[in-house]
Amino acid sequence: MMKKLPQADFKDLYDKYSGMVYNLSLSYVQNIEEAEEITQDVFVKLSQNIHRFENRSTTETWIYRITVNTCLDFLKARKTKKRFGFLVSLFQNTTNEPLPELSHFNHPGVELEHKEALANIFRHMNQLPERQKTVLILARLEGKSLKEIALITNLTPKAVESLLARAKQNLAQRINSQTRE
Amino acid sequence: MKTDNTMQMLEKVKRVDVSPFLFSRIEQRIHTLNKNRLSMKIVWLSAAALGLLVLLNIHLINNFSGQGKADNLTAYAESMHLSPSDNLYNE
Repeated sequence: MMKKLPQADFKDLYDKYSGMVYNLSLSYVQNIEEAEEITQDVFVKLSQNIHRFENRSTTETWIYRITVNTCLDFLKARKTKKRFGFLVSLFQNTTNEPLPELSHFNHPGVELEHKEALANIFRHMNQLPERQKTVLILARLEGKSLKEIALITNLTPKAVESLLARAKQNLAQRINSQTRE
Repeated sequence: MKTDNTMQMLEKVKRVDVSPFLFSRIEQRIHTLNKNRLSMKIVWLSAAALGLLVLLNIHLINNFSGQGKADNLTAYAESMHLSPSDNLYNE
């Protein structure tokens, strides 16, 4: 029998973790509408799967895990949409208008004076392999320790450390190669 | 740009608050999802009814198959003092 979360408990859960889910989603997609969509997905999943939560990890770690997976799924779906969007445009009787941008940089946590530099950093970050990107976001934007990241990603702290080092190195290389061009 | 500079830039990203309308949108989505979802009771009842129907069909097919029908016909013919043989002239 599925255990339903009482309304008051769900509101408490939302009040406590919605900021965390929303900000983490923003780090992945850098777009208000998409981050809100991911936040909605995460809380719908939470309301439907609360009975599956086992106290093997903390609630926060569990929600972090669900959010990271939802963000990665969202990005994969966006990539597929972009890929097949070209095919759709071939069969639709439209003019030669360019395909609409699927998302643009619209991060409310970035001040105007840093917008250009940060948009550039995020553009390169988005090209990193997903595990490197996840570790970098959790470490640098969420301020999590290696141990906490290891718990969220189901990796060892040593593996997280190595991934983080590679992520930083890759990011710097990408940015530097762009500067030289 | 050096790695340290990039990391320092990332620290300039500020945390933001969620839209106050998001919770009601989530509630609405959950409500719609629950409304469209069949309860487990209905699913199990439907499966049981379907299983019962299949069993009934198997039972009926076994009881009224060709062999059973021929036996019934012979018994009926004998009870009416008719010859069940298909030989017309009793040779």
